[in-house]
Amino acid sequence: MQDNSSLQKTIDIGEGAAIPLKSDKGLFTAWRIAFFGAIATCLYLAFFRPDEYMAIFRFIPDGIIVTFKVTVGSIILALIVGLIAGLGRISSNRLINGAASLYVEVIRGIPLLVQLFYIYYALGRFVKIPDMASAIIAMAICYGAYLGEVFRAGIQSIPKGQMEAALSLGMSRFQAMRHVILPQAFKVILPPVGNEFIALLKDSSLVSILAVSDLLRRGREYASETFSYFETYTVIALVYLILTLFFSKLIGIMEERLNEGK
Amino acid sequence: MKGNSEPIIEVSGICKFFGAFQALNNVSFSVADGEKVVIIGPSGSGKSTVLRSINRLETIDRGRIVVHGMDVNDPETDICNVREEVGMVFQSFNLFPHKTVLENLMLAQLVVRRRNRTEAENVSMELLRKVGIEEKANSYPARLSGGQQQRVAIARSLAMNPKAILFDEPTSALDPEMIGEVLDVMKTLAREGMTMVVVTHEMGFAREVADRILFMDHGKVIEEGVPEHFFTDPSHERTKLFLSQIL
Amino acid sequence: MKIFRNIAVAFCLLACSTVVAFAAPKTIKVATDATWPPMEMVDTAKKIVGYDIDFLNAVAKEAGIAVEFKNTAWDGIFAGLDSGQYDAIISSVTITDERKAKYDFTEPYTSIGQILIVPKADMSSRKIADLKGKKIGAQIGTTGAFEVKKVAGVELKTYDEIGLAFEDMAAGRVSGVVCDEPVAAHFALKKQEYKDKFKIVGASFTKEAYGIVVKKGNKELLDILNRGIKAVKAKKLDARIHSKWVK
Repeated sequence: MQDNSSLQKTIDIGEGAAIPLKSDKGLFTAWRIAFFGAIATCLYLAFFRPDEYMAIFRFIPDGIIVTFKVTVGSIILALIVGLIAGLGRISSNRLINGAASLYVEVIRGIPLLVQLFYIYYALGRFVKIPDMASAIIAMAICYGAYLGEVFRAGIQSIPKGQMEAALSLGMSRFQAMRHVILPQAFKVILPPVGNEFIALLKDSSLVSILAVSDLLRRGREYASETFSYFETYTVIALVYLILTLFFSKLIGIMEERLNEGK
Repeated sequence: MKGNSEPIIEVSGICKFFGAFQALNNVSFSVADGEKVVIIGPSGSGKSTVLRSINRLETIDRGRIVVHGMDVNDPETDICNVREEVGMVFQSFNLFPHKTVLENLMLAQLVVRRRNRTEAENVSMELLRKVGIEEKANSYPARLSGGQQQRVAIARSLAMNPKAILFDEPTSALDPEMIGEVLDVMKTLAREGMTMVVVTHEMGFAREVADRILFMDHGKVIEEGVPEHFFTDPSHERTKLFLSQIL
Repeated sequence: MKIFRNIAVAFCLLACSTVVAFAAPKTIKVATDATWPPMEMVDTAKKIVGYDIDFLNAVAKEAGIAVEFKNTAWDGIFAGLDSGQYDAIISSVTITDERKAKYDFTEPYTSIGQILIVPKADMSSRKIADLKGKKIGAQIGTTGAFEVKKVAGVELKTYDEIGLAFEDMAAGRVSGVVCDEPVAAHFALKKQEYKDKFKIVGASFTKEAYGIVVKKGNKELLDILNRGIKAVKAKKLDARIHSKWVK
């Protein structure tokens, strides 16, 4: 019954942008240099090189909104899918467990780009789903598999005695999960979920292949009409950078709050 | 035998295997209302497994356990009903670390017993007063000493108004100076007539409180008797050996 | 040190290849987005085929050069010419003022127009403006996309490949598709799975000419290609190619 995970050293490298560490408190942290540098560069381009850049900045804002909608919609749906998959993976019911494991294995074995094409075009033949909704569904199905593993690990990190104590008080498994296990697991999984969110924000650029007018697609449309590829992709890269840095900071602050609240 | 004769817990002929290892071998006993039964024995003898079988934290492979008229292992039985009636106190306390002491006591009252907040809070505060830690009601468990945590755990169990409480080595994880305060709470409960099944190594407590003592070894009940007889004149060789080592 | 050696090797290879290029008959690299049937597409044998391919091969033959085709995504096909990844583009490129400002075009080699395709169930729409409040699909950066964008109240959806726009119309996500007339004819009238679903409505509403694109100022290549085009037209080879692919 002894948990030997503490004996193993894990190398934890998130796929998302690094969530800033609490220790990064200096005036010139990498985060600050990158974030304010990117904003300053954007302002410089907009006001001192308006001929080339102002039109780009005017062209892309609705793309930013679409990127934001796709990212937030996907992460919310992915959290729900992930929770179900994670609970399924620890279920003692062989059928549920098998289905959840199969889902996770299949999805993790297929590149996101292929999944996006598949869900958008292949399933579009049988069910009518609007474009942005199918992009969100495709992203959520993919990220749900990864989040499912995060949930599973988070739930399993809670000592067995917690479930036993809740059950022995007469709670059902569902009540015990809801009131005792998940609130504790939430804290454990917030950092990896934050990383997944940032990774998802970046991967949302893949939906541009589905003719969803996100930030990248807006940029490509602009570039293909004006042939100013260098200028357009400079702006696109800067905007993505600002977005990811902004959200990773936000998640970092949330984590700190949660740890202080204890 | 004190209390009335109606058994609250009836264990008959249970067997339990962990793979090829037989953890329980044909264990039978019953606990009457108001009775205090203490189970002792060397570690690995199956004491905790018996206890955990009573509220089905462990399933059994053979035999039958009836609690308050409910067959614990019958698929028709809603095990939650059994667990509502039988409280449990663990060696490692198992308080909910994300909830305050008061919330620990209130949670199951709210979601299982469906009491309203005021009632649950009143019940909880009264029990905290009883175990002597009402001033810690709004602290988180991590701020409490081991002894305080275990008293909270007992109070949490009592908050459900159980018919009986199972104690699984409640003082084994405590520093020696804190054992007394927990045993005092348990003795108070015993005096008030609570039905208790206690797995413990505290022989003094067993002697003072128990109506009956079960001695287990290798998954079997070797000897059963009242404390005076058990401690002064055990009939079995293995009991004698165990007592000579522990006393 | 290793990096210097690699650079040195790269320079040697570059030098050698330049020498080879001088020695052999001139080969030009030409980009085409082979997702635009019947003008340029990939056949079942994975070969790039189509009107433009046959046409440029005929031109090359007349001009005494060799052609190597490079399948390139339309989105970014001009950027590749800028960075020198190939010498020319033949990919149903309409000669427009905006494009002429940045690149040089050969003489026009064929004329086409944009046309609207809608689902068969749509009985009323004849032109883009009839689809106000709805979405129309077109390939990113094409004159078809520019035409849709000009009409207020219609939402443009851009695709990397025109085939995906038709697929999305089949799935009901766009209400119309605008593209070059020959492409429309291929998808709406020839392709088995779309034949029953789509129809071409109205007449083509633009007058456009295709030209071969070279980098601004590449007069040498421009002259060679123009000479070839003139010869092909004089021999009426283009009419034969046209009837092979379009009619």
